This record gives sequence, C-alpha cells and structure tokens, in this order.
Amino acid sequence: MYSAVFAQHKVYGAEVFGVTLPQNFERTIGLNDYATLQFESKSPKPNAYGFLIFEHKDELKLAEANLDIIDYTLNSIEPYTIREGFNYIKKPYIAYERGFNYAYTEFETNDTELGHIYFLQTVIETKDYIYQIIQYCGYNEKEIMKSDFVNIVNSFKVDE
Amino acid sequence: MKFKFLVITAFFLASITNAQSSLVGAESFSVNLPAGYSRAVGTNDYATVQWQNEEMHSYGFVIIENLDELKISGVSSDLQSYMDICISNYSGFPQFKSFAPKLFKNKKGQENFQKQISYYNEELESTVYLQFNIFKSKNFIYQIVNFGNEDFLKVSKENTDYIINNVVLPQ
Repeated sequence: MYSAVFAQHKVYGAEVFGVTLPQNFERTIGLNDYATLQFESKSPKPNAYGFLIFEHKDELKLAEANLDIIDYTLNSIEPYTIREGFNYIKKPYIAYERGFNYAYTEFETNDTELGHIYFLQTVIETKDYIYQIIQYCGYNEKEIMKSDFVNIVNSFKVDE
Repeated sequence: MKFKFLVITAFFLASITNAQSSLVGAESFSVNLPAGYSRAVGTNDYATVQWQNEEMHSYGFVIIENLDELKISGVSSDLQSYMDICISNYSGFPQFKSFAPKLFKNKKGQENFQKQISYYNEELESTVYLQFNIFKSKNFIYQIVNFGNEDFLKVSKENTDYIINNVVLPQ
C-alpha cells in the first residue's frame, strides 16, 4: 500500500475566476442546473438573465469532445437551434482578448411560449478550462442590455 | 452655488457608476488521487471533478456550491444541515441505510462532516455504498462523494481516506 499512496496524481477541480456585475444586476439561482454562476437584472432595468458553465479540458478530452472553440460554441447552443424562430444575428466568430481565446455568437429565438428572445453567447478558453456565458433578454431590449452583457463578459477574470 | 451643485451631481453619478458587484465563480481546489485512480466523466452531471478506479469499481466526484447561492435559496450552510440535504436525494431508494456520521479534521487540518449510506440500486441489481464528506471554505461548500459496490467501504477504505485526507481546498 505504501507505493499506492505515493503513486498518486493531482486533478484540479477549478481555478479562481469571477465576473463583475454592473449596477442593477445581482446573483440569482434557478436559471440553469449546471451553472456555477447565475445573475439577473433588477428594476429599473428590463428583465435580463445570464449564467456561466465551465468544464475542465481534460474532461472534454475524456468525453472525446472537440476542443475547437467554434465547435464548442456550436455544440453548446444546439438546444437553442431547435427552438422555433431560431436565427443567427451574428454567426460564431473568434477574438483574442485579454490573453484568452473568445468565441462570440448572437442569436434570437421566437416562439409563442417564451416570446422573442435575444441571446449573446460567449465561450472563453483559458489554459485548462472552457467557460461559456449565456446572457439573454427580450428581443426589444437588446439595444439597451447589450452593453451590460458585453461589460460582464469583459469583466471575466481568472486569478493566476 | 451652481458649481457646488454640479460637483454634488458628479459625485452622485460616480457613486452610481461604481455600484457594481464582483461575483466569485469558483476557487482553486484539487484532489490527490491514489494509484489506479484517474479523472473520469459520467458519474454525476453536476460534478466539477470526477474520478474512478475501474479495477476496484470505485468512483467519486465533487460538487461545489457558492455560499451566496445557498443564502438565496434559504438553505443552511451548516455542515450537518447540508449533509441532510445531500442524503435526502437517496433516502427514497429501496433498502436505504445510513451509518453513524462523524465530524473530524483531515490530515491537512480541514474540518469535514462524513456520513456513509447504502441503498439497493434496482437498475444495477446490487447494493451501492456511498461516503459523503462535506467541507466548507470561506466562499464555497464542497460535497465530496466516493462510492462503489458492496465491497467498497472495506476494500477502498484506504484509498478513500487518502482522497479525503489530501484534498486541497482554500482555507
């Protein structure tokens, strides 16, 4: 047993990360069961919501998932693409910002049950993790809320 | 007077602009796995990290929750209360049994609350044994679950103890 104890290896569960929410946003729960971090707007801002999910790249390798950031984006928005009225506003594109790879996409869905919704989805690739941030609001509020959504994405920070 | 009003207005606007809140999404933690264990997927959909030893049919995972989220849910972050919530997900299963819990510090001096349970899994047609250890840091609560088949609590005890004693969490 002596050798078993020493022949070990370390698996990392998470890294220190955070976002800064603009005024009239707060942490919330109940948007997505897999989310590590969830938030919503408060009055007087229009209703807007967002959540963040992260995965270790080693888990993606084990699941034989493609690590390409665009493929990851397409895969993660797949549940939305089958909704009625799905339409890309901006197809996924890559940017290199603040030391990380980012992939952005904007789309809308429009069905009788949930109404007309605008989505901004961002995938961020750090050295060991992939993060996805999905933010959404009523389609008519997108011009008002988009700057807050972008500010939240830009505030994403990993502590080394 | 007009200038004073402008300065006050400017100060007020600056205060509004700065009314932001920083949310901690996660903190760095790691699990040291004994020989024969490796990172895995598929043991629990909500887990942040998972592992397995296929030869010993021994598995485990960690679920983390931010303490602020527990406050919003009105859920106590007390180790024992949180354990009760974790266990309640299994208490409805056939032949559910729970064993005496214990509160202790692991070898790194981190306090945790431990409880072992078992139940009959009809799909697998066998009894499953699970060990829950609940740890708490300044911002997060950690649910560390090790589980396996009927021999798990005996055969994997040394390895499970090793995992619990060597988990590295922020204080």
